[in-house]
Amino acid sequence: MTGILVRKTFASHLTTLRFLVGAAVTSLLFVAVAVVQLSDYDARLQSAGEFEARQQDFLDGITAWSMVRTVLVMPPSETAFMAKGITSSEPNLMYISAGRPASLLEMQYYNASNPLLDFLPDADVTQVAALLISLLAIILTYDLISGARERGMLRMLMATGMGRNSILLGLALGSAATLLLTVVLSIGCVLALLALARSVPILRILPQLSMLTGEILIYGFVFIAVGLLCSCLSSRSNISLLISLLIWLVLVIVLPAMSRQVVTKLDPLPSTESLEVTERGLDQQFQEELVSFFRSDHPQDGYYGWNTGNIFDLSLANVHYVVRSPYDSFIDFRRELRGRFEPLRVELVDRIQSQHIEFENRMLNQADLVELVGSVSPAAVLKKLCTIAAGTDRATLRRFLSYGRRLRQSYIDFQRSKDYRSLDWTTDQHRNREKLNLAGMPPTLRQRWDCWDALAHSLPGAAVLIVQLAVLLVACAVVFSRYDVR
Amino acid sequence: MGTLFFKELSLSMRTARFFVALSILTLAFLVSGIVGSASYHSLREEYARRHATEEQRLLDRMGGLNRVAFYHQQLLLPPAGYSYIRDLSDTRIPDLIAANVVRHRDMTRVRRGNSFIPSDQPFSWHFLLAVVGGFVAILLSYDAIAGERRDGTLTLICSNSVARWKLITAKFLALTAVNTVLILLGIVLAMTILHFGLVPVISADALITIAAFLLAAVLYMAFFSALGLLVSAATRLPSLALTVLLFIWAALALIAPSASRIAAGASVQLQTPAERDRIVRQELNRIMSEGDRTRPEVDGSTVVNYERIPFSPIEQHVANYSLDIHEAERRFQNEYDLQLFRQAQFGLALARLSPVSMLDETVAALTDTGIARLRRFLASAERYRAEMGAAVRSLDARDPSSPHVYFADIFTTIWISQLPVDDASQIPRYAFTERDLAERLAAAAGPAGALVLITLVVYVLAVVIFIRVDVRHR
Repeated sequence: MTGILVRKTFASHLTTLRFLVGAAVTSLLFVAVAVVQLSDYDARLQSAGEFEARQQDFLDGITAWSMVRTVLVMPPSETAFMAKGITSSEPNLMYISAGRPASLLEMQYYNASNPLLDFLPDADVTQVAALLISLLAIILTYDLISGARERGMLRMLMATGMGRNSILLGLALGSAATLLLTVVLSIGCVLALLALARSVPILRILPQLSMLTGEILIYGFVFIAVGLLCSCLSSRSNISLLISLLIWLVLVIVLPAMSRQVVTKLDPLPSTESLEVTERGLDQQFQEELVSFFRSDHPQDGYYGWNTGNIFDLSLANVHYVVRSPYDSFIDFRRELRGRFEPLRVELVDRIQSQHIEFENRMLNQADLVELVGSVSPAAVLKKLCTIAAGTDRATLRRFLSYGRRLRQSYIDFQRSKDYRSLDWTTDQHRNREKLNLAGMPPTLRQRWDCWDALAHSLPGAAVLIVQLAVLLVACAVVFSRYDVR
Repeated sequence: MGTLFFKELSLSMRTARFFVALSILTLAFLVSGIVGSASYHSLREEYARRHATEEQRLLDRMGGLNRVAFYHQQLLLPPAGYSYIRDLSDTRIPDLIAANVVRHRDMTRVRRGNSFIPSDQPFSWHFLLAVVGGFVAILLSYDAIAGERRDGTLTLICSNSVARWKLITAKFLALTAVNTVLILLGIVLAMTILHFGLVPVISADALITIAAFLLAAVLYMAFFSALGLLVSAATRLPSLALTVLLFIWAALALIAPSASRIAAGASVQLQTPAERDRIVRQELNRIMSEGDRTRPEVDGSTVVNYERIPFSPIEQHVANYSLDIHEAERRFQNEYDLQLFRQAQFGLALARLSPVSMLDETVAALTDTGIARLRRFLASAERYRAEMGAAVRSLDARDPSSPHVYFADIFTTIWISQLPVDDASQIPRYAFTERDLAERLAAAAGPAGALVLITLVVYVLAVVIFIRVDVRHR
């Protein structure tokens, strides 16, 4: 019996204009946003490739082991069209050298594509799905009970001897099948687009795409339950439509925007000002060390006002001090500084970096809290899940940061393995053209997307959606069991 | 006509839909008031902090004119005054230019907030209106005609010897009146919250801006009401009308900007970074080889010793064409910025086909948060650099020992005067001039006019369709 009802519901949905309009618009929008994001990806890929080539050139051209430094850029995600995630506003570039902390606060931003195009709002597949799939689910289901009652169909259905729960199940499954068809159709359109565009190999991203499809489906099912519940709540289909639209608006638009605002208000990040003050203090300390060194060892101060921007060959860049130098020439001055102050400088930068890491952890906690508060809304959960599927969640940023830190450490280790303190700094011994040994580092940041890892990370979010679905279905059953079918 | 209007008005005010719309808008504006006042203050505080830091950095460098002149100052675009109406803080739109007297870097963005949280739509009034406002206008109008036809009342009214255009006009005006009431209530609520959140909303400037925003809002919702009447007249079932309308709304809001982005990207080509690099390098090489060709003959070593003042003839020669190099760099930079603007403006012009983008443009002009603000930012940064250059040059002229060579290399910042700047006010400071109210209103008039026009077109279409429609109850 239920099977017949499922088939009947499915078939009647398929012939309605609302399904046809909904499915057409959803597919069209999926394709439209995917085209925009893919062209953005192409631009980013090109810029990132150029940066990488420059970095490689730089490393290849190193003539002195003391000059190791590089620029690391975040590779764009080929699946960012599914969910932009952190790539929508990320910092994406990091300078790596011994003299600079490798941390989020030090990361910078480069324009991989025209940033001014952001005056035109752009969306990704997830956003369209969050908006339209839920809307479609509600529009398909809002009158399944109340509308059937209005037309007198509900009594006829009851007269067939079906239990109320099986009627509900039949209607839900029939609508779910319709939604499944819509989602598969829309994703199919995106696949066709990918096949045409060729910038992203389809086979490689199939697991991500299927994960995305599954997540969108569960999300859609939650809203089928919402629509059914609203349909049971009223005896008139107009009223149930209004209630369900109100709920939709709150769940899809108001709550996701709220969670971030509420959390950043209640649990604000400390200002970076305190960090800057500490950094300035540490810098001051370092400068005093420098000055006292010159005072004690070289009482005959010559007055050379040096902006020592790049004085350290050990890539201890970004040191801007004016030091009174007793040396005859700038070169001698640098030689002297290099050997004596490298350990001090590295230690200083290490301390700053660990402060930054603390701050990063603080940011991560805040992000966790935003997610926790946001899990009230299925749309926020969907966005989180889809960024995991697309590899644009914050784990990606964390991976990038830890890669940068390891790279910096390996540079320092490499330089220290040269035992620079015993070198005769008056010669050019450090210019020995030795190749940098980066054993143990992955050759590139581009990692394969790990399906199992992503699945494991998605579990809590998926569980939240399924619990929401179950609660709504139970509520439906309870309300419908008291529904007046006359 | 008057009777019809009041009948429609009182009818629509008593429906469940009206109360749903009222609660939706109240909730939305309540949230937006809270969020808006929080972000208003945080944006300003952050700007003030950065501004003060920058001022301190500049003061710290007053010990030597060369250090002031070749320091890459961070020129910051201040947050717009009406960030609660339209907010761009969560986009990638640049608001920072680093510049010294001879060169400036790419426009970029001050990083703010938590990078681990993906950015989201800001909950500004404009966002609410574009999304929730359109939604509410559709919700109120979708069964204005289809519903009456379903209930059979349309036959009755039309048999009452009322001209059909009068009937639909009365409906349209009643809907617009209801929309106005709803949005006004929402705005007053949000204004109250903002007022208690210490955001200045009671000044003449703010009140006129908000009134103009209200007008734009009413226009925008009138478009969707007219569209609702059109679809409602053209379809038999209210539920179908609603579905069609909701998806048209989504398409207008999402497809138009996306399609314009694609079109802009495809039709206005940008230089890639590599291309840019190549062209710049080519030009610089040309200048340098030109310099090499005319290089004076000197005996002995050709090693340049940047510390020696006065310079040797070779160094003097390098210095002489250094300004050409900076000039060329700046030219390419400006050209690239222009390309960026051209591309974005092309996209924006295309997007104007959609009323959602028309509203966007109107509100952007009204609050001065659009692309015009960014253009003025770039132009004012360029002007500031010239001013700064003039000030530095006049100070530099007073130092007889200075070689007066402007060449921003890390080792060559000593090529101008190293004397301290006695009076910090001799160095000009960057200030961005905000547009005044009259300019903002004038800029908003154009796109608002387009909104009026498209609303009229849709309305006339709705009338025509309604006149030809079969009103018989089936």
